[in-house]
Amino acid sequence: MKIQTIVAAASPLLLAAALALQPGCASPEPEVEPAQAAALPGARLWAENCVRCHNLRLPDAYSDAEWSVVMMHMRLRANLTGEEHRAILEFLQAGF
Amino acid sequence: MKHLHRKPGSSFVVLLSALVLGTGSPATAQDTGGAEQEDGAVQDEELLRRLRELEDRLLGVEATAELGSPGSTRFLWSGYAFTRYTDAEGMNSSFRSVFAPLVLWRVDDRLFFESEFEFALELDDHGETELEIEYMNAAYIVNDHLMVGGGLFLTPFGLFAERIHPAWINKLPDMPLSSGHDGIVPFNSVGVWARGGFATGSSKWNYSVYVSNGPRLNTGEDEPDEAGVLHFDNYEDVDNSRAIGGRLGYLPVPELELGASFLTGGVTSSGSDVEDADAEIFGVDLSYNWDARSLKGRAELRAEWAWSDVDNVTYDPTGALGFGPLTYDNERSGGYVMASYRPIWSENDVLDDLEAVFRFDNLHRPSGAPESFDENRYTVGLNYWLSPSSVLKAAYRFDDRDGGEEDVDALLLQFAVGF
Repeated sequence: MKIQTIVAAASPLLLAAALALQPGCASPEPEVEPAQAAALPGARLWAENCVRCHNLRLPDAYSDAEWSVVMMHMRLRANLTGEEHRAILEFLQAGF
Repeated sequence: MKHLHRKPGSSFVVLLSALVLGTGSPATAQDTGGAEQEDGAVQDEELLRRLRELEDRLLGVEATAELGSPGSTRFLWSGYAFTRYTDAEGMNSSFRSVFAPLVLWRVDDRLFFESEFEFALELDDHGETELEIEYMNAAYIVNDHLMVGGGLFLTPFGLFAERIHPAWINKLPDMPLSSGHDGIVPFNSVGVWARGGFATGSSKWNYSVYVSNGPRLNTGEDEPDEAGVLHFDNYEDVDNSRAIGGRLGYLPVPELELGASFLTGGVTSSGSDVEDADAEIFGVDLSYNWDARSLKGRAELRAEWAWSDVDNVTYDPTGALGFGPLTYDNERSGGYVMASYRPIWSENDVLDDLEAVFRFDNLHRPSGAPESFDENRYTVGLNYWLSPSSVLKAAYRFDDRDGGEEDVDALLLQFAVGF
């Protein structure tokens, strides 16, 4: 059991190494620099609030209509104020 | 139902086209042969036919566009799914798959409905599927700082249930020890709530308060080993009185949130052999995110701790259940501390998406209880993010139980995707 456990525990490292050899595995990170985000209230609020729980979802992850639904859900989860809700939604619907 | 109809102007276009084509092109007008005139007429007819076809298609596209933008109602099917492999000491290793759709419905700018279901395969040899409703509740936005609602909702006690439990958000394949069936904090409740947020200068507060049916005290009649444990997956008001609870969160800076939670109420079923008892649960939580180039990445620290106090009662007072009469000081506590680091500024495409995670869990059970051992867990994990909402997780959980209980270490692998 112990040997099997060691091998099994090492498997994630092997998996990571295998993935390193594959092209195009990286997930895109939002390329908004902090200075840019600060200049846009909605962008800043998006970067500050959403990352408290999960990775940032890019504006093109959903359509404008879908974002209007998602943001209601997020307002409940994160207890956002109405102002934050509207500013973040406006930013997401405007895109980069 | 919308009806397709020709706009008045479209008939004019057709007529004009017919007139232009009917008077003939200059080349056609100059033809002197009868055969050439006939060819010209055929071509004109073909062009007219194509014009009508284009016009019909244009009308269809316009109608489709109109149908695609209805009024204020918006509907979204979202959710997550995962497959997990668990190899725990002393147990059969097993895969488990779960599909958790979210049904979200925005009725208008103020009214919203949300729900989450969980479909999972039964862990037996019957091949059946179990369905659980994680939450389903309606919300109404009163103003910028107040929302009200009711139904089955994620209990705002700490952060894990409300915000972190989805598999694509939780950085480890399992739940903290203080949550779940044998835990000491609630996951969901049936009742009504009010919540919101407000700013004070550069800092921010958020609050949630609720009234619910409350948890149920396990008196040992069905499960003697769990006499004294609070069952939070109870949706019936067992004692004709409500439980009340809430959470207050404070964000002095955007990266840091501090919270305090409480829940209190009667927990003994009416008609039970056990006398009436109340429970009080208090909790604190902390969440800190640090995204800095000096770190070349993002670090996160999250911690939650809770203390549960149930009135002292006598379980199995007559001894008829075979383990009583049993009385003990029913105070429990527990929580977790989790740290993670992801080198998102490493400038290496692979390292960017790797994330190291560590979590310490503790659960203190009272001496005198049927299960009275304390338990610590130390879980180390490595995640690989395929996208912002899909992740491969690998973790090893070192278990440490006192009181002569057998430790149960476990290997945990999970693939989770949010959509």
